[in-house]
Amino acid sequence: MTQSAVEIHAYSRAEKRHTWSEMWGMIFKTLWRNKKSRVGLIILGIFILVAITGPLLAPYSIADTNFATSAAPSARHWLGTTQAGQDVLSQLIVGTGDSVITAFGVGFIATLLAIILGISSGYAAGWLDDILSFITNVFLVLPGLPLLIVLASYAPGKGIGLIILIVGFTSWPWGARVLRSQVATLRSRDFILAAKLAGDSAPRILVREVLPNMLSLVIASFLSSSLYGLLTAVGLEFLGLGDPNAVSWGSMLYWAQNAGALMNGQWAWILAPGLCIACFGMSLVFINFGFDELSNPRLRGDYE
Amino acid sequence: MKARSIAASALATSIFLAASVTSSFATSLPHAKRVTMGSSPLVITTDYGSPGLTENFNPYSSTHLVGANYMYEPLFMVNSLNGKQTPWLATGYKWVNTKKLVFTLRSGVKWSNGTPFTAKDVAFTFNLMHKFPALDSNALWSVLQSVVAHGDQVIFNFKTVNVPDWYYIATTHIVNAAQFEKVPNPVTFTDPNPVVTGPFVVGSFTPQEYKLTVNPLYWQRDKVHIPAIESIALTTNTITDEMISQGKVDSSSQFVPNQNSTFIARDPQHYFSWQPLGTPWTLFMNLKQWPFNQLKFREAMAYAINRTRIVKQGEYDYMAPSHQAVLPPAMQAGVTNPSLNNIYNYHYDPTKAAILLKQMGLKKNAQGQLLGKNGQQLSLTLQTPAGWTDIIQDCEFIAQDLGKLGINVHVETPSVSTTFSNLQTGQFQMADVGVGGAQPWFIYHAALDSQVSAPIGKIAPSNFERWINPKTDQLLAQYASTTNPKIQKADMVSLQKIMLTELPLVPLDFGVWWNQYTTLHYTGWPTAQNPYAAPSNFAWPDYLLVLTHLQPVK
Amino acid sequence: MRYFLRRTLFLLGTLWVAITLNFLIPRLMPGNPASVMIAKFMGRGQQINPQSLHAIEVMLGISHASLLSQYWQYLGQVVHFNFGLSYTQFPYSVTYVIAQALPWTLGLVGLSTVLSFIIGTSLGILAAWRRNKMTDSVVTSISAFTNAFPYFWFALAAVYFLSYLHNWFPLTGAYEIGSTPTFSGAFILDVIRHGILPALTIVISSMGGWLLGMRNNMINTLGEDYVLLASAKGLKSHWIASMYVARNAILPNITGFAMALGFVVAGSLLTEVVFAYPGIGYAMYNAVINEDFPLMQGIFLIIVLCVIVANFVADLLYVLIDPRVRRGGES
Repeated sequence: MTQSAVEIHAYSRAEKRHTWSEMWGMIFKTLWRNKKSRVGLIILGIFILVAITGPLLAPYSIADTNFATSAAPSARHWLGTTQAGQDVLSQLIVGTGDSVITAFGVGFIATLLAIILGISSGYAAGWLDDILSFITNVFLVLPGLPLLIVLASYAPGKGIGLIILIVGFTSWPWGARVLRSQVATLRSRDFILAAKLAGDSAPRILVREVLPNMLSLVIASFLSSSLYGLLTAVGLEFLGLGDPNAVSWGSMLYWAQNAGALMNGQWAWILAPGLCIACFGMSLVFINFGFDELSNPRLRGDYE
Repeated sequence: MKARSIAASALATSIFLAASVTSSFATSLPHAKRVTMGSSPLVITTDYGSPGLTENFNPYSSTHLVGANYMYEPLFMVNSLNGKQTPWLATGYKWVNTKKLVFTLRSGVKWSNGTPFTAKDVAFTFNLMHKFPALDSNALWSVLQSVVAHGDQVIFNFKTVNVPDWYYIATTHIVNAAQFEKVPNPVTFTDPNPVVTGPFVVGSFTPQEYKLTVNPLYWQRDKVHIPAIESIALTTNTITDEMISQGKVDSSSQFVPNQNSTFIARDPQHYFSWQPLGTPWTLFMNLKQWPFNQLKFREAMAYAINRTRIVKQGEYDYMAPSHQAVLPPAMQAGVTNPSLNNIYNYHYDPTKAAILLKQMGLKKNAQGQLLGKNGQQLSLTLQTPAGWTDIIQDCEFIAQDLGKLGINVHVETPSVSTTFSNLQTGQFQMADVGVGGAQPWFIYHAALDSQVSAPIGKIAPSNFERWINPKTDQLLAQYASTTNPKIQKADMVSLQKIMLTELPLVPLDFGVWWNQYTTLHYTGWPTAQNPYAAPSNFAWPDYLLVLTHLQPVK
Repeated sequence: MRYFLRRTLFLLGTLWVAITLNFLIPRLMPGNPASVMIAKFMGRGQQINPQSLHAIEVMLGISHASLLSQYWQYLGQVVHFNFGLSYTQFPYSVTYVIAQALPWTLGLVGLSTVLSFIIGTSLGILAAWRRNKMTDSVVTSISAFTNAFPYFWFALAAVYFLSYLHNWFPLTGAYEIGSTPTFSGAFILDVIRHGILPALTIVISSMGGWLLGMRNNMINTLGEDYVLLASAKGLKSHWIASMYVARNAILPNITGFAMALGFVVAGSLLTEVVFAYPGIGYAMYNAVINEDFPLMQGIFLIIVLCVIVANFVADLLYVLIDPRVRRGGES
């Protein structure tokens, strides 16, 4: 459903031609000026920082199993301990890394596929467009989670990389559809026609002229796919289809649930990973508010 | 029955359309409260409803409801904990010779439809399994020649001598010949109205619950003080745990995490759990591969693993560290030699493990990594199925223990079917799975007999580690071909010694018979002081004993 | 007519892709699903009799024929809604298990989706109307949050606090254990009582999307020329909002809604798991953890079928709402 925010971009009309550097600058400025996306950027920044420095920040090693088992939150263990005697807070901090990687990994794969399929489809027109659009629409209609469950339950391994690949390869169609319609409108713009007349090759036009002019759309689609990717991966891990040995927010929920954490009064063990997922996701949605306004000036108005 | 449940679900749709109008209505319907009286039904939970129960009381079906075990009866009752025998539909049995077994049946037993129970029913039951091999899940007809009724006796003729298979014959569910004769395909038959000799008959069935009512014609009617059984479908673990902790069920057989605090502590006067030891969980090693084919390496494994930590931190302290002799303690009584167990006591001793590895000629590098034959760090995989969360945790502990010796262990969790397919074909290095068996011989046979093994790439039914040893085979065969208890005892001790000195497997911990019960409505449950039956409500045939022991609270 | 033809072709094409995927995935992956059922039959640690092995294979319809002939046979079975026998609920058929579960999901999730759409869209209109005011800020921030959290996690907490600790709602299931499904008033009330909490968690965690989408559409439409013209003419602001803006802004949301209805069957999987609600999602979860491959594939096909058909109907309805589509063909 978050995609509906992205779809709006399709209606936007970027009349002017922009180069890469202009676009990056403009995007950041607009995002920072918008209150919500500024909050989003700050929260996201914190998560990325924790993801990178996780093992250093964690009070204990996640391999350390010498604590009391299934303990409630205390001064020594702010979020309690697991059934195997690990520190929950340390897991939460270290698990940020895998979770952020999962989110952005899915976002990257999905956006890359969306760019390749969406842009070639929109730029090419004709029979290639027909075929690519058909494929996009088919994948759009196939229900994501059930398909993923079928794939994941047959898959030989259970690693995080596999989850990223499977989720990434099934979550590109929304982005592709949005990008396709944007390219279709850009195709007839003067600066593109000028480049064509100057004899530039299609790939060169796409990279130099088309992509920078839809950069905000690409990033917005990346953020939406990342959010979708994280939520889907967490769902799969919760169902036990992820790697139970990896430490991530999703696998923490899986173990907490299996150890009957709520029944045993260890609410923090269930609450904390869920809140982290929600806050991380919220930061992405907030940033996308800024993108909405960037591409659709009518939404603007709250930063005077 | 089927039609009714489909109608019920069709109903659900229209109800929800109605709900849109009244979505704000108050939730004032009271919870159905149970009357605490002697005559209240026994409420249990034991069958998974996914998403609802499907009616199936056919005792031969692999997916039958546990309730079938409370209706159909065996010839003999055999305690799953210690093998103690109690005559049931048969009053006695006799080995005429090792190829001829005769059961004498109880007289005066009636089927629930009023017809008398006869030897014809018993002979029919076994011949039906011959006719439909899919029903013969214990492969009895691989050793049987014929089964014939003779007056009040049933005669079993063997083509291959197999004395231990007495257990499977004695505990087979006996069905009514007149009823099953009319069933065209007993494999897909769902038996909605069973004709039985046992204490209960089917009362009603819905996808969330089924009720069994007492059989008025039961031959031990005086021992049954339960008017009815209500079996509630199990759903998710969390919801089941919550129901148990609220005392909504009298008996359940679940793995409840932290049950001392989440269940028993809520009403210590009435909530109990007695979980005797059962299936041994063992470290299987592929004996066709180096280093597992080295006795010293296997010994090192037996010393290297901290079983106490596995039990305490991986299994909520429910289980117990297992002994190298592999048999559960209750089964060992009178079967093995306890002093041998004390001599070969493989306790946790990492220093000794390191010494054994050193004696093998394995060297360590500067980083403390143990080097394999190729000069690289010795790196092994350890498999256990996905979803077996406690065992996966145990495997992580094993990986840590071996890590301290410089061995790199990677825990793999393929799906259940992939794991077992890997084990069967020998595509594994180490694995943590159970080695089941109703009696000592079955456990040693499953674990060690070359008959149930196979070359790598071929399917081995159970001897996954591929222990091929003529002495072992000869001992197992000798035990199976004699009815002389002295010879059998000597064979068992020799097998015990092979386990202790050759270490074909490294046992880790004993699983338990999951069990929670309350004394709010019934007393007389099996306990450590009175272990008359395995306490789990799915335990066949044990739970028939429980149902004939329970007394209502006055 | 050409539009209708294109949509029909698309419907059939998608269906074919889904069926083929469903056929290929289990056959391309390693492992032998049949061994699961055989293992179930044999029980752990027991002997396998080669005779019974074959009998079971025949009974389950496990085929060793060539892939192409298996595919042909499979297509024939799918056309007749014959998905074979369930492993976990043997000897019941997959079709039987699905028929038991489907109505519950349609009821619970269908209703929740409708509620979520109505509430979300209304709040979206409100937020757009009170744009940049306190209401807008609060509503959009909260929905950004609810939109981003895992809904099963919310459901877990709801069951624990509201059902277990406070007994305000039943713990599990679709109706009281022990009651027999009938068309009686008491039973219907009971079903509603059991449905409230699962429905609530679905509504709360899904309405954020409708809200944000509607808000953006509204703001977009508010800037259109005809709206500006209408305000210039001196129409009361409230009148403009309801008559012009909302009616036009809701168009993209309506298609989304039709799509969402199609996803109903798939969408609530985790909620059903948490509440042990006897619907299709819970059935699929159980099929997955028990490796009941025929059931899992049957459910997947049914889910796909619902989505595709809902999509098709949505496309046709859209023509009625927005005549421009008739000329354009595919968007």
